[in-house]
Amino acid sequence: MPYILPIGGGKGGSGKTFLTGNLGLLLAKQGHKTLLFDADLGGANLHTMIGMSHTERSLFDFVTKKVATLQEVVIETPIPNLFLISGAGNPLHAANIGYEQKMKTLKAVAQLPYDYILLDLGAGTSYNTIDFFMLSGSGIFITTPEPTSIENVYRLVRSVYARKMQQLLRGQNPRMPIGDGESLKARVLSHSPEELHAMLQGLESSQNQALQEALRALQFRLVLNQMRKQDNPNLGPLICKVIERHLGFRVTFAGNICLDDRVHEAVCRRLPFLEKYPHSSAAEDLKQVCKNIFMLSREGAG
Amino acid sequence: MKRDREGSPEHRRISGPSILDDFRRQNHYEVLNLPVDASPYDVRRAYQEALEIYHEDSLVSYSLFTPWERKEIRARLDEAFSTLIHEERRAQYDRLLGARGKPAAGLPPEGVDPPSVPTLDLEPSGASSKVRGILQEELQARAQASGTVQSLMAQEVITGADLRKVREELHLSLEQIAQQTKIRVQFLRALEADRDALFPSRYHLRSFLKAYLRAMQLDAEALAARYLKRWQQKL
Repeated sequence: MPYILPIGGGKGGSGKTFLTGNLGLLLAKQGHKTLLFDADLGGANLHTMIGMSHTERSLFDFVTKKVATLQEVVIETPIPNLFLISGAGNPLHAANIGYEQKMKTLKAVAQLPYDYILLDLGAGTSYNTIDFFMLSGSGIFITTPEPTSIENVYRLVRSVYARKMQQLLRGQNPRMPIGDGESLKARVLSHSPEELHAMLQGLESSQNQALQEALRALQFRLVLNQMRKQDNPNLGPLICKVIERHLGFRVTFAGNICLDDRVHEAVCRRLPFLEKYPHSSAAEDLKQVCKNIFMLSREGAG
Repeated sequence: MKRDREGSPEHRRISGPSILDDFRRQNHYEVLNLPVDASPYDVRRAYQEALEIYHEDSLVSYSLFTPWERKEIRARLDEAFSTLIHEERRAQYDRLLGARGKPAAGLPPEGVDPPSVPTLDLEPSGASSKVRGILQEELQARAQASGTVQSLMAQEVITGADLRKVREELHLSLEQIAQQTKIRVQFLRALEADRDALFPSRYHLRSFLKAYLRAMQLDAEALAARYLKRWQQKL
């Protein structure tokens, strides 16, 4: 089984694609067979981040059944060990992928033979984004230290959590009545994390415990991107604290990445940032974040 | 007209579970995320951090709370802080918690509480070497002039009550000694109340005792031996 790591953030421009591309590069350099998956269906651009302006095949060849298996749309990148499923050339309606197509793709992704699969998710909280997040029990939220970005990250965090809880509660006896006899399934459909949490209290203790354990097993990380010198370096840890205290689940802080104009320059020249500036401060931050993320995941596995 | 028993969505939003539910159930210590034996310095630091997270313009919790939720949080934080930072009010509150059967890990203060100190003047430990320097010379003078100290040296066995008497004569609070020795107030209080059971080992008791005596500029070796003699007899 590959280790699947979805990377998302509420708002555009927070660095999802940047982080996906460069984490992939680091992992590939360490000798891990790594696949980058552009799951931002309506706004695919991961190929550009790693310096490929044109790709022969893309995800939609699989979705529209031009090819039989997902493996056939995987393309090699100029970097050894690094592979890509591109979204370049997705048709314009790609963002509105149907449920069947989505489930088929999700199942196929989990079967692919790679060490690591990094999913670059789109902004926003549509079910298409959330369900890619749900593909594994882990994920990275990335945000910039700005209210707009943080607001959307909270929204995303809560959506992911609520969806996971819905799944878990549905996995229990869906007909089990709670309180006034309304069926659990109906109540679970569209509630906030707080309401779902309160529902957990209504379950029998064994079920409650099983659910709590499943929720605790989730491994989410937070990365703060584009940190300027005057920004509070403690912002990330504090956000994690607030999430744990008020939303009741754990997100681990994985590090700050400083603002660096050279990132902009590398992207404009369509060169992988880590290749072009391997020793800049942002590159050092990236390496540290990578280390933190995968150290945490090994601890979680062991 | 027959209405859904659940009520309208608005109704549910108001009466339903809130993001603050846990917060509302918590006591002052939990609200500020503090252990029950937190020092005034810890209390202030925890309050500062809470403000950093919850104040209206905070980036950390931006959009997570509504303005009225924020107001409620702020009120609870302020209440917790003003209670815990004030020694008398805190002792009262501790007794209240104890009566409710929710004391945290067995150390509500026993007996009479020491006089309250102006805690806002306290500095974080380690930052007051100058103050401490002055204090030490003054203390030495006071200790030498003190009749109680002289009579203690004449006693064969001394008790916690004796120590407390000396400390009060030197106008030192437990807080001040705690800051200098970095020993928690609960242990100092236990020394003065002869509550030996609180100490993890005999070694701890002796070294805490000596630090306490040294902080008061007393002859630590001689007095510790006298104090521990009583302790040995009791065993």
